[in-house]
Amino acid sequence: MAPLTDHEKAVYEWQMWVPGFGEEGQQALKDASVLVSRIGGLGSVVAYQLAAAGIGRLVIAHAGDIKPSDLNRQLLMTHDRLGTPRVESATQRLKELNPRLEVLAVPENVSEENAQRLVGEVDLVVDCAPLFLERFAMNRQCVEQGKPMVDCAMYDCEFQITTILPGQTPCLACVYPEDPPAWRREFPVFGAVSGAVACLGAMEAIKVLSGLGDPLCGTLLTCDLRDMTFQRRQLVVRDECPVCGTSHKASSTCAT
Amino acid sequence: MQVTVEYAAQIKRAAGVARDVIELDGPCPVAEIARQVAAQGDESLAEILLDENGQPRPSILVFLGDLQLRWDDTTTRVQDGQTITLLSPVSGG
Repeated sequence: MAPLTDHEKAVYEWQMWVPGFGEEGQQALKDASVLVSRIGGLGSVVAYQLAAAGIGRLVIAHAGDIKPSDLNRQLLMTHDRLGTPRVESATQRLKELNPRLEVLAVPENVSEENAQRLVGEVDLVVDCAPLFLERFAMNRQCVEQGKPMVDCAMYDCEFQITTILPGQTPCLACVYPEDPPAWRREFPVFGAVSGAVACLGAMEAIKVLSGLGDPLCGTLLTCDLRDMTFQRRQLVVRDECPVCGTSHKASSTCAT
Repeated sequence: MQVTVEYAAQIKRAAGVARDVIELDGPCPVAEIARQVAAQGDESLAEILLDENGQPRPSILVFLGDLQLRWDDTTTRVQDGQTITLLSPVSGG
């Protein structure tokens, strides 16, 4: 891959000062590609932070046009683009921030039909999708293709996040062995809540891709912003998991 | 004996509170505690927690302290003074 240019070194100077990251970490981000699905309240901020951090290539997948109810949290969408495709607005905003960024804009939601292809395009997936069937499709492909998946979720003033490393941690199907019957696509949330967990998700992606720090492997971080309660909880592998049950190395530590 | 039960996300909304302290006759598996919580709450709480057979839904996460337990774990018995957390599934959007 192309080495960092002098301009890129100037742009990313402050983060290259981070111990354990440096020029090597920045080069790793430049060489990396990430799928963000979808680019709503969570995915907009994940994609924006990754674009700002100098990721080389983003694949953004989200069907549909911008609606008024998107604008409290979907920060890549703008009022003047109401009624136009979300991926077009998102691509423009991302390129305004980082014109070096390569964006593959896919005007589709992830499904069983396209998950293999979309996951195959990237090194890492950040799951920001609202429907469990979308999330399960990405999870299955990440496990089959051995690719990490950062999983972000939210409700009301609460959020949850974990990082899935196939063969090392519980996968999403271990955590949720069924499509939760009570879950609905539309739910109460503030944009500041989706933005908070999205920033954590982007940081998890940066860590996994660059080798910085310790990702949330097998750990579910939960937070309630009503009272600022943060908790780390240990998830368990399901040996009988139909997605990853035969692939585990019985390790509770990350080997990224 | 007393056990503290913390609720998260949709369960918290259905319960109307962030936590309860419930009275139990003695140490028991988490599935029994979930059924007792459902019996003490209203219908919406029971629907989220339990399936049509009265079993805890697999998509509801339960933690004893910070460690996840499986609903079919009948050997781990929650003791007096311990805290469990019931966490309903949430997603992106």
